[in-house]
Amino acid sequence: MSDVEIPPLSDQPYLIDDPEDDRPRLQGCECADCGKRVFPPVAVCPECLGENIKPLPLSREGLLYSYTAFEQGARWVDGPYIAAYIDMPEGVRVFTHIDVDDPGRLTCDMPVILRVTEPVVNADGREVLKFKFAPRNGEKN
Amino acid sequence: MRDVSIIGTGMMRFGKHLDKGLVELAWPVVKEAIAEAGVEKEDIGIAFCGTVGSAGIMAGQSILKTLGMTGIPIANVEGACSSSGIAVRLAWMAIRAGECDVALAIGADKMNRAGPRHAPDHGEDWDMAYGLAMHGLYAMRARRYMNDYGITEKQLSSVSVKAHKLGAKNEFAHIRKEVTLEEVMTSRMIADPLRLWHCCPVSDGAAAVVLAADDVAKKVCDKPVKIVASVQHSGKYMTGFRDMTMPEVTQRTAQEIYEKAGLGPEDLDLVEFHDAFTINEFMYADAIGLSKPGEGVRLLEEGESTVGGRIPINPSGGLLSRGHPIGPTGAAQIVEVTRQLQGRGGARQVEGAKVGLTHVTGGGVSGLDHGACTMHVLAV
Repeated sequence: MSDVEIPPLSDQPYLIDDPEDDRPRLQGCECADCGKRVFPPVAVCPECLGENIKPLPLSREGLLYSYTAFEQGARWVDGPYIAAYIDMPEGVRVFTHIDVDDPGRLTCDMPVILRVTEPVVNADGREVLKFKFAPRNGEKN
Repeated sequence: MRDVSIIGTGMMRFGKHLDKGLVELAWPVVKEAIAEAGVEKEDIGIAFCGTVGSAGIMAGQSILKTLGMTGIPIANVEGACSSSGIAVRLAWMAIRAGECDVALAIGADKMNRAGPRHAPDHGEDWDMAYGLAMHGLYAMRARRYMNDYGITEKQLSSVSVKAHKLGAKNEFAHIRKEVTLEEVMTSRMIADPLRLWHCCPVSDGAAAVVLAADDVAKKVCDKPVKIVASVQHSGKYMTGFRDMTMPEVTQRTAQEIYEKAGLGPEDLDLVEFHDAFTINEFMYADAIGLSKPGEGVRLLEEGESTVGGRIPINPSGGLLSRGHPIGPTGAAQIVEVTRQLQGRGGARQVEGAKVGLTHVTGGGVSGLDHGACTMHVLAV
């Protein structure tokens, strides 16, 4: 579909292995000078322009702000899929996909948890997203 | 600084114009706007063309060359859906700054077969790279708005019925037919809860506006329409939580334009705003201050937002019916309000309209409510 190659989305890795346990976490960043938090990680602080940026591992659980089931998909990713914004306890909002068979289970503000999944493959066959979120209570239905 | 008025307008029926090129579509509306203005083409001192580049670069030069109008400064302006709203604003600024007395703003795009062009597609934008698009963004706004304010699918669908009822009377509308509530509610799902009839069509088209300094306007035009205020902003970058039912860029732009125009939402006789999707009718009514947060639906249900009501919203049928060629939409709104204020609204005339507002947002960028928001207050 596209002849444009996707450049790196972030200056730093945004999916990391947590040394404390073997499950992965999302990683944002925090400006060491002014405390501004951003996801995905950036090289320069959009608040104070500082470049003293430190990693900020995010909680695995967040709240589902809103979501939609895309039927046809969009520019980079073929549908169908469920897209969503997740509000993380660290104060950043993450755009992601939701791993659930029945979108009817979803409600605004429900807790959702990070899940490493089969990568989402875009229209060019490239792996673009290696994680999703899913309802916290139990397994994929 | 000098006051500026609109003295000429050019408009065509938006639609699927696969048999014509962009230049072919656009030059007649530019010619119409200049003829209506009562000036010579040589009087135009500067031109701005709002376009998302659907037909490539140098659209303004290509269109104006056809009419022998190059040789002046021409700038092509991209602000996604807000492109030609920004073009009108730049023309207004140029006249106010004394750069010239008469200026031209065009909007021109052919979106059919051009592919989506309302968000950064360079792959570096997180949300877009991972599968967000404008219909999905507004679907998520709709979901949250319905959740927070208890709006039903039926209420949301009623917006489309109203828009197409008005648009059926508009000779420039892409979709010139009425639609029933049942048709809306059973149409194909696009991005839940938005169905096909909740979305504006993909259109091709052009619109043009000629502006002049007031002293010139009074000499050449019987009924110039004054630009009382013009404001444009980009959305603030918010990395944290934001209330997507109340887009800050629209709210902020509205507050500023009321202040600059010295009036409030209660003083408006009609509004043309950015109803690319049905949810916008409620959300933007709230953000522009026509209703309290969550109460935009009341304007619809009480018949206040249609022609004949207290504050008609999108008498043209809006983007839902007139269509949305992206670049030209802002200029088309200004053409509509200008003609309404001149009493040329035809079957959809808002009787006695003296003050009108236009509002057009543009572009999805991660962390911003919108890339751009442009508003104008026009008056006679």
